[in-house]
Amino acid sequence: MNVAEGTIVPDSHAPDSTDAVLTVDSVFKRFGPLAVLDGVSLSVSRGAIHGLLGKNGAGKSTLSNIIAGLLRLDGGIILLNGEDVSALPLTARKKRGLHLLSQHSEIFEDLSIGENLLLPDLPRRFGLTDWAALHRLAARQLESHGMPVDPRRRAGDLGASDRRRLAIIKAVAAEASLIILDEPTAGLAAAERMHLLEWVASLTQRGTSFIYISHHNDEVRQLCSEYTVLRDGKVTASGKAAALSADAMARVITGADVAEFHRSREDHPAAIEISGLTFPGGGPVDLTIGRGEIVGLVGLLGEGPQELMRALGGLLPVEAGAVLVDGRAARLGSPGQSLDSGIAYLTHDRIGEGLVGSMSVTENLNLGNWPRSLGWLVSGAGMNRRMREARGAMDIVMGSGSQEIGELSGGNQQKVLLGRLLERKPRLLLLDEPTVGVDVAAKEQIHRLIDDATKKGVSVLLLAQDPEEMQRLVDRVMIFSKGRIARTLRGAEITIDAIAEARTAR
Amino acid sequence: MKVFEMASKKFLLDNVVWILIVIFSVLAGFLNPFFLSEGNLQNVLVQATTLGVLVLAVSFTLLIGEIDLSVVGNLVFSSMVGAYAMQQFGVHWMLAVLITIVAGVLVGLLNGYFVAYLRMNSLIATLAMGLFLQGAVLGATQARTMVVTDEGYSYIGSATIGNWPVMPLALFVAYLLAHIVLAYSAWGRSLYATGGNRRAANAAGINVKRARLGAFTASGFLAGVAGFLYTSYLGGVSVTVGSTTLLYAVAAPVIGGVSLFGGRGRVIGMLGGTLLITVIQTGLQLINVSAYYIQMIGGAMILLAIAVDAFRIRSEERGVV
Repeated sequence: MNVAEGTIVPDSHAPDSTDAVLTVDSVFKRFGPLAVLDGVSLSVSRGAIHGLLGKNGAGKSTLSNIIAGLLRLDGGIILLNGEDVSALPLTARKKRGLHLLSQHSEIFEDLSIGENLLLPDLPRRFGLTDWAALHRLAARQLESHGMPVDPRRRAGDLGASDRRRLAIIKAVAAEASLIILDEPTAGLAAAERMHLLEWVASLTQRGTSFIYISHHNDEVRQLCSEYTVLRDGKVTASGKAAALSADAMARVITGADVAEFHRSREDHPAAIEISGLTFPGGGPVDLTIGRGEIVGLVGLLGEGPQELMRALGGLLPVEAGAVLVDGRAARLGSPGQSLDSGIAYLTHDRIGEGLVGSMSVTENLNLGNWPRSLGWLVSGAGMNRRMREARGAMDIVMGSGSQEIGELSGGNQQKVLLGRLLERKPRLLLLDEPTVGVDVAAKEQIHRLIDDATKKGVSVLLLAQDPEEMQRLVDRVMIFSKGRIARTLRGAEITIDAIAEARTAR
Repeated sequence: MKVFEMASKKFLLDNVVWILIVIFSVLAGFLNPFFLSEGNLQNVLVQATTLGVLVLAVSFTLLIGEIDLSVVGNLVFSSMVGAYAMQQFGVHWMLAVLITIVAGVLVGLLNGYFVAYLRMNSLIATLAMGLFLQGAVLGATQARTMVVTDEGYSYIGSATIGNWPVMPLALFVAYLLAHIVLAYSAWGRSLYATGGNRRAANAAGINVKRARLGAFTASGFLAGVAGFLYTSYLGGVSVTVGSTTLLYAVAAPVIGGVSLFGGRGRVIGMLGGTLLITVIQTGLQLINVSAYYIQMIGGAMILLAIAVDAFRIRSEERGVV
């Protein structure tokens, strides 16, 4: 086992391989020159909930994708119930009882709950779907797993927590021996979280094992019987969860002596004044943001922070209120108008809403803001100059500006998007998950770029699922509830725990 | 060496339409030497002019991920309006040309409003618009051809300069302008961006609705131009342009590599698609293939071209479903 410095390995005896559902041995994975998994080993006992912990970018998702068969490993071995499945594709691993349920539970919203549960093997009669049998079977399964709902209802009408339950029941009903849950409680309120967790715990009595990925250390300590901590692609700790205190757990996850940059927090003169802003899903919101200040927004999904950002960015209609940018009234109504008013929105959905996949890196950098010649023609020289500048300033790793944007890594794509916005010289930057799907090194660079922008006087609103990222960057935190600002955290109040707490409490 | 192989394979696949033109021309020339004569080249280019402008019209809408099936109806309608103005009010031919094109633009604006602002499905909306316009023309003329005798109006379709017809000049000017607009103008790039990813284009500050309206307006403008050219060439308004013309106008851009899903396609490819279809048609006529078989062989050639295109897409996106 490859063990990094400053680690705790409380259980030194090797886990007995006969009672292990899954054994991962020295798995390596590289993305380009970067080793994202550097000799990771872990073992999951039968009937256990195995917590997989680590910061964003530590390699948790990569590891779970490799275990499930979504990614190919570059070295090492994976044993499922004693059988080597390293070379098998996803479907074959599924047949052997290995299921991965990602954060975006895959349900078909327009199909019934029963169909969702039984697809692709719907009961048939004379070659046609036997609806009566389908509903009977589905109702029985739902009932026996403690989710008594009518299988004829539309699955899209289920709440977030029930959708996840449905996906889990589907896997359990398929006689899964191991289910990987990737952040199953993300975006849920505290009460729903507790319910879901207790329910998951009850499923282990049927012999199902779980790998449980979460940012919430307390959840893991409560729920999991064993755990593994990843940091920068290496295992830094593993063992029985009960043996570890909360503090010790936090320490092994973060790593005590990681050199991280810290923002200097100072007083900021007011630059952006939002007054009485009302929009679909929230408001009225009053908020003054200082010059060069980063204000974090925290709240449950649909509770307002993202809607506020999208309204400011021109992607949601503003119903009432006004925004002053450096004393001038901003026109909001379309992204173009927001950009012209000095407000730029960085989307959380890089592929769907950020980049044009059929266009080159250079074109994506200049999109919607082309350097002109003769007034209406696009200046190729101007585009290339901006590309060179952005590439140098942001350290974008790429072949040439004419290659398609999809060939770049997530981090470099994100830098191109950020570069496009910074070229507009915004006064207010709206960052909606600025480092989603980005590797550790790029994340660090993006954080520095954000910090550099604030030094030039740009004000920032930040939305981030990762409490750590939030704590690291922000000067102030606004906690949303039911579409309005309910509470403010300042100075020493801004801790990772306080942010994580605020996000889940209603 | 592998890089070189891949590059040459990509070059071949990108230019398959030109290779097919050469292969077909050699075959047709072998069977009837007249096919490779100067006279037939002139004939091909003249035949390609109206179709070529219609192909551009359809392409503008394909680039934003939509389609305009009203171009043939618009062609007939706008040329009838122009001819009517001359016959009834005796307007000068230059004004009549303007009226023809403005009529086309108005139809395009209406289509664009339907699709961009009312969010109507472009396939059905423009199909209906095309049926409506063609029906309106048939009703108004009682299916009689409207003869245009004005020499100014019919100059471009009939004049020659030193033995060469003038008409193909219009084709090349149209394609040159389209190339400049699509490849180099900010508006042209915004069409590609809108077609490639509408939400991303919007978030980047592009006025997507206006871009979409503009694409349909350009399509209407070009249909009007095609109407003028066709009337000028025929010396009258043919109220019954075949439905195969519409199919060819849709097939040609796709043969030339324009994506039906928007965001991809080069003007040179649109020209290649137009020429391939024209070459096939005139070539088969010259080697005395029956008109019915011409349609069949034309269909088969289009299938072949699209199959090659699909092969290219598959080889670019290997592994994706």
